[in-house]
Formats: sequence, C-alpha cells, structure tokens
Amino acid sequence: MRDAITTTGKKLFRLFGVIIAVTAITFVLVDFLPGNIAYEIAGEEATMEDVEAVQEELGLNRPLIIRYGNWLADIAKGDLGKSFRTQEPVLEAILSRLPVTIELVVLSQLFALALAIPFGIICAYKPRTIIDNTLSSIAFAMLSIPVFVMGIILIYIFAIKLRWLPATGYVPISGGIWDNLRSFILPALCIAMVEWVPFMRVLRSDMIATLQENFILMAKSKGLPASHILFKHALRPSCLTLITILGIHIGHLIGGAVVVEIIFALPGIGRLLIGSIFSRDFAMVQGCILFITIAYVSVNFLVDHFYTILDPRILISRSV
Amino acid sequence: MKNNDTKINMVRRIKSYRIFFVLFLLVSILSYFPLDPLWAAEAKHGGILTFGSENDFRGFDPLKINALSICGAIASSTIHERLFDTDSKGNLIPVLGLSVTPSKDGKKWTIALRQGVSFHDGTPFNADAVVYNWSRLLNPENKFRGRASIAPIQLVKKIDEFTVQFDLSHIWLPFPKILTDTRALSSYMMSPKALKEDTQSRAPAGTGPFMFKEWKSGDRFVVVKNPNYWQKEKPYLDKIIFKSVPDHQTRFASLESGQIDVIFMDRGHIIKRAEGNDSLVLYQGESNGAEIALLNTTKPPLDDPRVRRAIAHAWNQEVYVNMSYKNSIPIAHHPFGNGLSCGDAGYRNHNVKKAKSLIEQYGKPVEIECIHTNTKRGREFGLMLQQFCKKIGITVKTKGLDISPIVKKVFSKNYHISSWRIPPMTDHGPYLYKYFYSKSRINASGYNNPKMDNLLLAQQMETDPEKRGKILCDIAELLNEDVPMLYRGGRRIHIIAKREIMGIPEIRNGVVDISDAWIGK
Repeated sequence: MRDAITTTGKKLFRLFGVIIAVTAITFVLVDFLPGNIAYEIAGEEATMEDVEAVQEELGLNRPLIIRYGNWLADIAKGDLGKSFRTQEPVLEAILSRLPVTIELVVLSQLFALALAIPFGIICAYKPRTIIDNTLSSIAFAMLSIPVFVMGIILIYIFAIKLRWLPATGYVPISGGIWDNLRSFILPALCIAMVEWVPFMRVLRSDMIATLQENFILMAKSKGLPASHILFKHALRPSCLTLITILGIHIGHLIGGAVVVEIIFALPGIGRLLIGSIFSRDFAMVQGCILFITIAYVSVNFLVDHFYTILDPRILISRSV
Repeated sequence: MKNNDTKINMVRRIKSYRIFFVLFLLVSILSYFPLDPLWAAEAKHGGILTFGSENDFRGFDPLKINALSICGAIASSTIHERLFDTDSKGNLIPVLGLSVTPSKDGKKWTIALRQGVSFHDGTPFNADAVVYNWSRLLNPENKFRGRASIAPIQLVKKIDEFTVQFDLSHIWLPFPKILTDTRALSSYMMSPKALKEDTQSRAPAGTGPFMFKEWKSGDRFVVVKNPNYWQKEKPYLDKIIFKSVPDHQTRFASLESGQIDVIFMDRGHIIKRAEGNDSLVLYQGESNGAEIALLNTTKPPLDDPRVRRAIAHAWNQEVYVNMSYKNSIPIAHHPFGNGLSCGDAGYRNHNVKKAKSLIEQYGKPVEIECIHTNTKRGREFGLMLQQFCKKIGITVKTKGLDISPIVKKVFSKNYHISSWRIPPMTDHGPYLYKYFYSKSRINASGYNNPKMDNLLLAQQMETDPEKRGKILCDIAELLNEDVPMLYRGGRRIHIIAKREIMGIPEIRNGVVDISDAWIGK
C-alpha cells in the first residue's frame, strides 16, 4: 500500500514537471511566432506609439522570463487572465467550451469502439479469411478519407438529403438530451469513422496473439463456446494496446478535433486554441495549452492505472 | 373636311389601341411574374431567426474594438442605433437624431435628439448620453484607436436636455455622414451606465429593437425583442440568434438543411449555387471600399514609379476577380464604389507591352516580395501576381502570413507589396488622407506627392459637394497615375436567406440591418 502511494506520488510529481515544461516551451514558442497581437488590437489607424502603448498595457514589452513568472504566479492564484482580443476571462472561455469537447471526445470514442471491438474480434477469430480481408479493406478505405471530406459527406447525406440530423448547431444538455445528442451524432461519427480503424487493427493483432495462449487452449479443451472464450477470456488481456492508443487519442482529441469543430461549428477547445494562435492571443493560448496538457497527462495517468484492472498480472509483476 | 374627320378618328383609334396595347402588355408582364403571396403579405410578429455568421464577435466597446466585421455590424445594428442613417442616395434619415444644422461658418453642428427613448438598462437617452459617448472617444487619455477618422471633432457639448453641439476644428463637409457609419462602433449610441461599468464590450446595451440576452463565445450571440422599443410596432421577431459558423460550406449546408435562416457569404461558387436555388433569396449590395495591394513606394525597386506602373499594367484584375471570386465582386477603378462617378479614373488596364516597355526603361532586374494572408484567397493573389509579373520579367517571391505579422510589416514599412483593403465607409476622405498624405503617421505606402497632399487638404476644406466629389475623383486618378496600390476588386456584400424570411432591406454601407425582418410562414 505504501509502495503504491509512493509510486503514485512519484508519477504525480513527474506529471507536474511535464506540465511546467510544456507551458514553458509553449510560452517561448508563442513568443517566437512572427507578429504581435498589439498590432491587431491597435487597429488599422494605429501609429507605432499606439502599438507600443498597447504592448505596455498588455505587458508584452517585459522580458519573457518575467512574463512567464507572472503568469505562473497568477495561475497559482487561479487567475488565467483575460483574452487580449475579446476581454473574455480565459478560465470562463475554457470552461464554457469544456462540455462540448468532453461530449465530442466521449461520443466519438464510444462510436469508434462500438465499431472497432466487434469487427476486431471477428477479424481475429477468422484471420486471413474473406471476412477479415473485406473488413480490413473497408477499414483502410475509411482511414484514407480525410476528416473534412468525411464531414462534408455526412452533412450531405444526413443533413441535406435525408434531413435526419442537423449539420450545425450545438445544443447544450440544458436544451434537451435528445436535441443535444442529435447535435453531436454527425461530428462524433465523423471522428469515429476514421478512428475505429487503428483500434480495430490493434485489437485484431493482439487478440490473434492471445488466442494462441495456453489458457485459451485450456478453455477450448473444456468445450466452452467460442463467444464465451472470445468475450470472457480473450478480450480483456487483448485490450492493453487498445487502451493505450485510446488514451493517446482522447488526449489528442481534447485540443486536436479542430477540423471537426470548424466543419460542424462546435464551440470546442480546439477551435478556441487555433483562433487564439492565429490572433497571437497569448493569454488564451497559454490557458488552452495548460488545460490540454493537464487533460492529456491525466488521461494517460488513468490509462496507466487501468492496465492493472484489465490484467492483474501486471500488478503482481510490478510488486515482484 | 371629311378627310380631317377621318384623320381625327384614326388618331383617336390609334390612341385607344395604344391604351389597350399598354394594358395588354402590363397584364402579360404581371401574369408572367405572378406575385409571391409572401411579398404581398403583411408583416407578422413572432418567431426566431438564426443568422449564420462567418466569425465570432470581438466585443462592442469602441475603446476596445474600433471597426466591426460585417457580421459584427449586423449584430450591432440590432442592439444599437446611430443618430442618423442614410438612404441609398446618401440622404440623412433621422434615427436617434432628428435634425442636424450647421452654423454659418460650418464649424458647429447642432443636433436635435429624439425624446422618449431609453437604453435597454433603463438609462434615458438624452444630450448627456450623447456627450458621454463622444467625450469618451475624444478624451486623448482613452487612446481611442479610430481618432484619426474623427480628428476634426474637437468637442461635443450639451445645449439643452435634447440638443447637442459638435464643435469642429475646421469646415468638414462629410461630418453628418460620419455619424451614420455602420462599421465604426463610434457611430452607435451606447448606454453610459454600461460604458462606465465596463460591461458594454461583452454585454452591450443600446436603444435598438433588440436587447442582448447571452453570448457563448465561439457558439452563439443571442438578442431578444425590446418590449419598450420607441417604434411601437417593431421589431417583428422575438429573438435573433447569431451562430458562428466559420466554414462557408457548412454555413450554406446549414441554410439548405434548415438550421439557419440567413447567412453571410463571400464565396463566389456558393453564391452561384444560391442563385440557382428556388427556396433561397440572394440579397446583394455594392458598397464602396476595395480589396487592394499596397505598394511600398519607399523601398527599392518600388521607389521608382516606372516599376510600380509596370506592375499595374502586368496585373490583370479581371482575371483575378473571375478566378478567385467567380465574378461575385465588381472590378474596382477607385475606392468610391457607386457613390461617385469617377469613370475609370485613369485606371491602368492590363497591358503587357506597356509593362515590358516600362521595365526596359528602368533597365535593371526587378525582384520583389509579396506578402499576403495565409488563406486560399491570399495565396491565389500571391500566385497570380507572381505569374503576371513573370511575363514582364519581374521576379516575385510570395510569402503567406497571418494577419498580425502582415500588419506589423506594413506599419513598419518592411515590405514590397502586401495584400490590404480599403473598408466600406460613409466617406473615404479621412481614410485617404491617413494613408496617402505624405506627413500622415499612417502613410503605410510611404507615398509622397505634393500634388496629392494639396488634393487631400482641399477635399477636407471644400464645402461644395460637387467640387469635393471632383477632388476625390482627382485623388483616385492620381493614385492610378502613381500606383501606390493595386486594385484586387471592389466590394459587394451577399446575404442569402430562406424564401420565407421577409423584410430584409437593401444592403447599405456594406451592412444589412435585419432588425425589421419577419418570418412569412
């Protein structure tokens, strides 16, 4: 128990180091970007004095290390600052977009897993057969379609032609659960249609290996039905790589679903981040990066712990 | 005698036939174009309109954001009102101001204000409110970023409860028009309480037909009907939702599939598609201003007018507008749109022979850099300029940048050619003065011509509208002569709406006011 607490403590310390390193590197990189928001804020009629005044007002003329120190001090007080561009508090902007991003990520990964798990199991159970080859071909075809093309195809079929689902228009949960889900089905499907492929391939290859193991032979010799062997015995230990990839994908999607967010006009974190980078809105960029980093490392931290639940042998081998 | 009678009868018969013919023609025309029952219907109250905007808004406090985007101005027009509006001929229409009267010397303008109007937060609209709005902009400590456009205004003072006076430093003919500008936040009257409490930017309060309800940045901006609006019958709609849909394909798809009722559009191929769709109505209005490319006249080789003129003759605006905009915007020869009849203003047409001859006269190899926005349209401009210039032996290196570095390079004159724009304005005199007067602090092209300086000063002081129009045309002509900029197309605004959305007025000053819209079914 004490070892477990120490290990977790060490991990948390490392995660804190990662967060500090990522935010420091981002601060430097953003500062190196050509251009300056002061020019945009000052407007088309500005003089150099106006621009300098805006820079002073925003504290952009101070040394980088001082600005980073001040930013960290503000973060410690829970103050992420205000957007240079819109004056909106950064924390408020991120929190208002958080439910959108979380719902998009969760739904898209559920859709992806709903496709990947059954197809992955079928392909592993019947490897190198016509079923496996056909499903693999379909999967690779899906993988080769860019997300924005997939988005346009889905909008054309389901929104314009069939009129079953809305093309745009985020509805919060407070606006009704069904309306909320309807507004997320197409964007989540758009991500899932591409993401299920690596999930399926990884599960397939891991499960083929699992199905060669002695405990599966034992189960077969006991005369257990195939479905029981596949779902009860083979699936869990075959999911380790899948869970690792899932963790990375979730972390990536928190800030990286920007194409889908733009196509479906979803007010998510990715769109906020990209818009802020283009306008050199440092306060908002730093806030978003901080949030995405925390989310990324937290998800992977949880994934790390999830391994032991999926396969208790890992816990035993660690303690040995 | 009999012959005379016959002649008279014949004339009468012809006249009656003519009447019948005209009546027949009218009936034929009317039956060919049957009246849409919606057009004939009376305006209906109620309903929610969703407007698809190309971007999110930045805020509504003029000290924080000076110029509004087109969609920002459309949203602002539902909440705020100006002192005056203009009709399509440029005549003033009273809104919050009732009349504007100049003094004999033209340096003082007295404005009578409308009574019985309140801001959405209950603050009364009166002379104090107008004085507060304007004094805030004129106070140098507030560093209002649009002050160059209103430089002649020295003071705004209260005469009585509903009369204010604007004191100018010199005669300034376009003064009343400055009060009607749709794209400058400074024209709109805002609640002094909201301005003092610093809530105006994110929770705007005006006197308009709609009141601010909520703003979920990146998603929606919602306004609801103002029950205390001074025009008792208006507005017709209960609510307007401005949805931020940055992707133009999705915005149009949302209109087609019914999630959005009205959209702003600036993509030629989609505008063509909308024209062929019977369930949609395309509203378009030309405005002044232009898409341009600034040429840095201080940086060699562009400091030589022959090189600039050669580039102007190499540049083919018609091909660019066709390729990049699918002819959805007009060709520009000057920045005044239809507002002034300057003809072609001595525009340098595409003429490779002439361009080559000018380069030969220059006698040295020419290599320049063109910076442009890192967008599809920006890249198209860079590549087309590169190809046109290649034909006359000029090497153009293109560089795509975000807006912010472009602005920095232009302001610090660290560029050769840069994509730029002249925004639509009620009067371009102050803008041209800022950009092309040799001693102006914002002379981004570094242009220096004493003749231009004289013209720019003369347009400021001229009191005769016709003479001033002539001076502005002379300015446009001199700009085409010396080429401190290239035209990349004029301005035409496109709004696409579902057929059942009625009451959308003509597009004026580059903005459409959807406050009076109503839903026909």
